[in-house]
Amino acid sequence: MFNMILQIIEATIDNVYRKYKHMMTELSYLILKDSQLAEDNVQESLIRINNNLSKMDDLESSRSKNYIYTIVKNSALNMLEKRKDDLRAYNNPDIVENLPDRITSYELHDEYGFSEEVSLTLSELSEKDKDIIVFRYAYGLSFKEIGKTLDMSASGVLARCKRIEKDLRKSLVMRGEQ
Amino acid sequence: MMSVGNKANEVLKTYAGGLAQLRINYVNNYLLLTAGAEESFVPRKVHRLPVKKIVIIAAVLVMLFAMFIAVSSGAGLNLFKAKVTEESNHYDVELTEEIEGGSFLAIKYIPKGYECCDVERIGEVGLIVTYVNKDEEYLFIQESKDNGVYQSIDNETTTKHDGVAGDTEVQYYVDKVNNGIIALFVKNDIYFSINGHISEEEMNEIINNL
Repeated sequence: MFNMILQIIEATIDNVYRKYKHMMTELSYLILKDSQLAEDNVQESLIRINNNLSKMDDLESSRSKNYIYTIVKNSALNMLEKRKDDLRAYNNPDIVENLPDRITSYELHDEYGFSEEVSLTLSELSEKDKDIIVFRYAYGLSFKEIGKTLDMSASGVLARCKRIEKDLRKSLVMRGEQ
Repeated sequence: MMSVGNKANEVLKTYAGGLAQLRINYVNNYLLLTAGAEESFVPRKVHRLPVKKIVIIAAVLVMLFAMFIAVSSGAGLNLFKAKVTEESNHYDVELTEEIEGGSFLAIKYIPKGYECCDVERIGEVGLIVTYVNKDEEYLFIQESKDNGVYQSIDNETTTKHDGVAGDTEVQYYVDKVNNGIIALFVKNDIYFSINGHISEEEMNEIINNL
């Protein structure tokens, strides 16, 4: 029985690797700019994903794809921070502006139809804030689930959510969008 | 007409949907490009310490821990045992003691002007009570029976302090820029985290009135 469970777990993480290896390597390289570090990051990320396999109900689901993307991205940013103490990886424009999920304030204003104030507020959010918003507002995860995924406490996630909402309400009021 | 709160909610949903879709597109593009080029995952070998060394290290740690307990238990304090690692822009705080988990404690003191606006239960092991004042400043008090508690605290504007409130050892982080405090401590075998725009005196009052 135990061996059977072990085989299922191995099969699942093997499937993740088979399916997403190239994307994980490319995303890691985009942030780390080093092939060896990128490979190390893929291994690190797989270990983390393996520890949270319960979140991977269906490998094809958009939630799983977002989960894998977030784990790989954050793991790479953490690795960069640890290797270069002086570099604030999470806030370094050279890195975050090249990420594939970047939406500029110009796009927010012109394509999404948000006011300039709202667009500016959203475009100034940190990478961690963006992760929280995706999990909370696109997938409806609880604060605890988000905290576990992002290595934060539930109250930390809640505090960030409230701050984002407050900043956004200020921008809306400033614009008179009531 | 839609309220500001609802409007903010709508904006965040739209933005979250856009971000999620960009991430999915990126992943899907790679799945299309690399279809058929699949490899199996071979985990790397991990270097392990010899068993003898592990036993010696464990024995030394147990002795140190026993000495620490013997010294500290005389003080009658609710100790706060945590490992704090300072990274470039945040502290990683990891609770290093086992929590047996007593009953959640009632919060008997709330700073002036605050009122309760939300109570979130996290299964049987967690509780987050949120208070808000008229300036929309929030105060979060979290109680947790969960072991392996981990907290990430920005250190760009905060400074770490160690103190004692009554019979409780408290580690707190003062954010002078945003005028806030994050306080961490263990009482009644429950891990507490207080996060809000409060003074050190108000923090002590909350801890002493649990």
